[in-house]
Amino acid sequence: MRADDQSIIKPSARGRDSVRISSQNAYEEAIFVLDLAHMPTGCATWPSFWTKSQTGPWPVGGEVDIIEGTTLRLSRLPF
Amino acid sequence: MPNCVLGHVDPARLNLPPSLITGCLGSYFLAVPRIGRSLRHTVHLPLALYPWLYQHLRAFLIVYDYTPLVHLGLANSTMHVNFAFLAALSLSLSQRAIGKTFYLKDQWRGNDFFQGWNWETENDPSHGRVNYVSQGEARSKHLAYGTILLPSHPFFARILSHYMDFSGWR
Repeated sequence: MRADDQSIIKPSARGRDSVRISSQNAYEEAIFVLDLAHMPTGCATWPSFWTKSQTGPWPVGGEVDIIEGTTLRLSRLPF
Repeated sequence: MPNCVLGHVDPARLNLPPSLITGCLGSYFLAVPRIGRSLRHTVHLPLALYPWLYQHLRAFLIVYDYTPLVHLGLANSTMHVNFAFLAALSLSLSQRAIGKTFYLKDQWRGNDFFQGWNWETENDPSHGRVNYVSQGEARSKHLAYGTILLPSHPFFARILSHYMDFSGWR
């Protein structure tokens, strides 16, 4: 998966083409292996990988951010 | 009130199958999750540590929904947790995970990637200026494609035939 990094986006557009997916299955206790060959960095990037509960959106159900790096803010990595 | 504990684990000390580590193309993350809350607002390490962490700790064990933290007074509903306690507890919690056996339940490889996931096209809830596209549009625009790895690839073969053995963890 990747975002479009070629086009010039018109100001009137909804935004840059990108992809966002969520699993159809849910897991209570598990080991997730996410194998990434590359993760974008730099201005305006927002690569993310997170879990969320099925009981509701944060803060009702909870959300755990495993990767969340906006632009150059490495401090968004949750450790 | 659920909460979470984050710990970092050197994969070499987890006694994972070597091919699981070397078979990965890049960074990977391990998570042992239950329903909980993020600590992203309260856990901060000095930025100077990050290069070292990336070099030495390629995997991160994440254990959360550890309600006893709250009962012990080490955490509260606003998710403030003392990092010194966090470091100590992450060690004991990692050892809690040692006794558990994990089996492969789901995997997506190659074009499996295009099944089993919802492709979300709504506006970004975080108000990012982004146009999330459907799977069909992503594929036609070459924004998503499956990388074919043969089942004999060590990464998958070892996951299929081995459960995670933490017995060598020290």
